[in-house]
Amino acid sequence: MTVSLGIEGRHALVTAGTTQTGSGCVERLCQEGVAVAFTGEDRERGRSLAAQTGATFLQCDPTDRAACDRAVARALEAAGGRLDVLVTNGALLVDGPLEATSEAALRELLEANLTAVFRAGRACLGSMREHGGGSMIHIASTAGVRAVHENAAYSVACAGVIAVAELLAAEGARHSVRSNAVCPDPTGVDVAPLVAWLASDESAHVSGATLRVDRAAGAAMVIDTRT
Amino acid sequence: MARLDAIRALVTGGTSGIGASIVERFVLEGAAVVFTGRDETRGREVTARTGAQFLRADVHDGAAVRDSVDTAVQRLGGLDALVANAGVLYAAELSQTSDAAWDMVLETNLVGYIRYAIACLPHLRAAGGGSITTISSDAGVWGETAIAAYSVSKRAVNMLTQAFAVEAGPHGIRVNAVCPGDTAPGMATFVEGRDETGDPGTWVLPPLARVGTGADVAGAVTFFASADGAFCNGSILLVDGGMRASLRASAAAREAAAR
Repeated sequence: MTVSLGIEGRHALVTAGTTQTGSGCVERLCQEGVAVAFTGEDRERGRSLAAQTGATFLQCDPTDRAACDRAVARALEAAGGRLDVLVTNGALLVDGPLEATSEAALRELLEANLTAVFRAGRACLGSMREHGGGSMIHIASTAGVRAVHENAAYSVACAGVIAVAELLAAEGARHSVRSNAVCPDPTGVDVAPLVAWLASDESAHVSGATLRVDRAAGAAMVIDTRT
Repeated sequence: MARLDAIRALVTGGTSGIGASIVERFVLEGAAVVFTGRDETRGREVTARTGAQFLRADVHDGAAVRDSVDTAVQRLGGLDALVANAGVLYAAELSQTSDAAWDMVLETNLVGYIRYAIACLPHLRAAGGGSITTISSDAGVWGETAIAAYSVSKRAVNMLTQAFAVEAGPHGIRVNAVCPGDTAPGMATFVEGRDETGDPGTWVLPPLARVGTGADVAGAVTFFASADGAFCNGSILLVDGGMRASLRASAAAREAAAR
């Protein structure tokens, strides 16, 4: 018998829910009985995830600020004005060293992966504050903790997301709004169980934390001179 | 004192505050310096005081950045050191940060630094190596709610510093960050209630019980740009009087002052 996390009936918004990590979170939160709305750019994936889980799909280009605002407004409306949980995801990945990253690619990445997270967090902070609290879970990457030079611009954006998560936590603390950063490694590890726990009251005192989910890859350097 | 002899340096945002102190110290240490800024009058003042050459340039314009780097390299006959310093502060919590303020802070502090670094890297490689020093902030190491967007931008600056350290290191180019705490005169004095002369009564002080000076920061930048910093690469150096050394740093300073 599994012990319930006690989050059934809560309302959640998952941004970039059509990404692999995002859809895992949508599925898991739905299984826990959470009413989930999720954004995503890919209509087909969005519709199929909605059909499969019962979650509400809100199609939205993560670099379109007005569209993101409309999506948050619709999610809030569907939740009766009270969102308990916000899960943000990075929508884009840019490969290559910083020097080889064009300004257009850099801007698009910063907009979709960093500014969109700040803007969703800012919007939900207000609503959660009014309703006595909430939990934000910002999914970044281990690349935001230590630079990954194969995805250097992505690393820079992820570092910013971790800072946003910390600052929302510090500002939200006096209003019972929690905010944490979850940093999976790039192997596609499933963070949904951790996200569900962070959404629940089981983690009531965990806020402003950066949780690596990387099987110790970031714990210490393992330097093997034989390879 | 000639630790930067034969060093040809470009300092962005050199017309005031920390940047002007860096220009002054670099010249004193024997470097040939070109500095950028937006304010012609202040630029001329710094030139009159130091002999360094002023170039009017705005970090917000990609083409202007490339032009200013090319002009600087032409005047200096090459480039050995970039100090990326031009930045802006916006004093607000995240919930009170408008889109316009967020954009301005990221554009200047983050995209501007990347722009300058990318424009300078080919010249540093052509010189057979060199250094890039980014002026970050203690708020990038540990954020501060009252200057939230700025804190985010500086965290990202620390990461881009390490990313460039990995990319440029093999070419003998060292990339390091200096993270000042509250420094006067400078942008930290824009936060409400702080005296711009650095009068300690108006500031929350670090364990060293004083506000930082431009010279404090310039010393650390000189170290990174000189041969003394030859094996420093990807280093994030706090120059904050101990402010970020503990959760209760400022409280400890107050208690010490009261005794």
